[in-house]
Amino acid sequence: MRENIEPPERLYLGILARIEREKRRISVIRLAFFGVVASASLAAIIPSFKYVAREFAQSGFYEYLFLLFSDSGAVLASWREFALSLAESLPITEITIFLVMVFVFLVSAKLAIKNIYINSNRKFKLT
Amino acid sequence: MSNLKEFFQSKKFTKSLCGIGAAVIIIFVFQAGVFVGYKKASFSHRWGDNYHRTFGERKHKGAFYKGGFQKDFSGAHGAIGKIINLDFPSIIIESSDNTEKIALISDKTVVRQFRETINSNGLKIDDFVVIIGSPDDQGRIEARLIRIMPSPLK
Repeated sequence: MRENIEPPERLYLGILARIEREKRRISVIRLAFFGVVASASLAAIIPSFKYVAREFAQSGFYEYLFLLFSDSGAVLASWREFALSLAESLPITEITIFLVMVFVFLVSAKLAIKNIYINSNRKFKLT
Repeated sequence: MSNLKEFFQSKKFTKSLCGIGAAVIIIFVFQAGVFVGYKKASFSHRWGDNYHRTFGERKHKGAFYKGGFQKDFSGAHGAIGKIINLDFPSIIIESSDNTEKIALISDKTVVRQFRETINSNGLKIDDFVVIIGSPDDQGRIEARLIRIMPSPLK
């Protein structure tokens, strides 16, 4: 019996408007949150990249890599030692930090843009 | 038969393949990390054990602890730095991290300068060298290749 009850149109539109307002409020909060996270991670990418570049230079990775071009014959003869010296000098921690920053930036930027899109494509215009 | 064909063409099968591939890569990378970490740690342990015997008291404060997750461990298969002592067949180099490493020269060692292979007698104190080799049980590096480089600008 209850299923046949039609709500008054004004009430119906009011409910929809309220739902829309709530959705918009949530998406604005999400946009603000992911926007801040994206900005912070973008700001962190630059120093972490500098850190990676500095560690690459300090660890001697470039010098070992240079051997591949200057002494390729000798390097091929001792390829195992060469590969291990390269692996040992790789600044893994710094690369990981940098990649995490890039990952966080990409994910948060995607979610922020998605929320901008949701906000600008509402079917129901709020009164 | 058609069921089998559908199964092999299904997304589930592709996802399973990707999952197995990802697991293989993760296990391989993990094993490589364990292997390299073990080599570095055991070399650093032997190097530390023999350090005081060879060089006496450490001259640089903090030479043993440099912070970070893996910076305490010195590379076991290579060394880069300036030659500070020549006592054939061993040479001592001062690395950029202010630690001394001993490299052993043998008949298998190739010494290169510019485009030429030179005799190990051509090595001089203050030469900046890049060494690759394998670690021995006393924390030394049995050099396979020594490349004399131009000294880096400070």
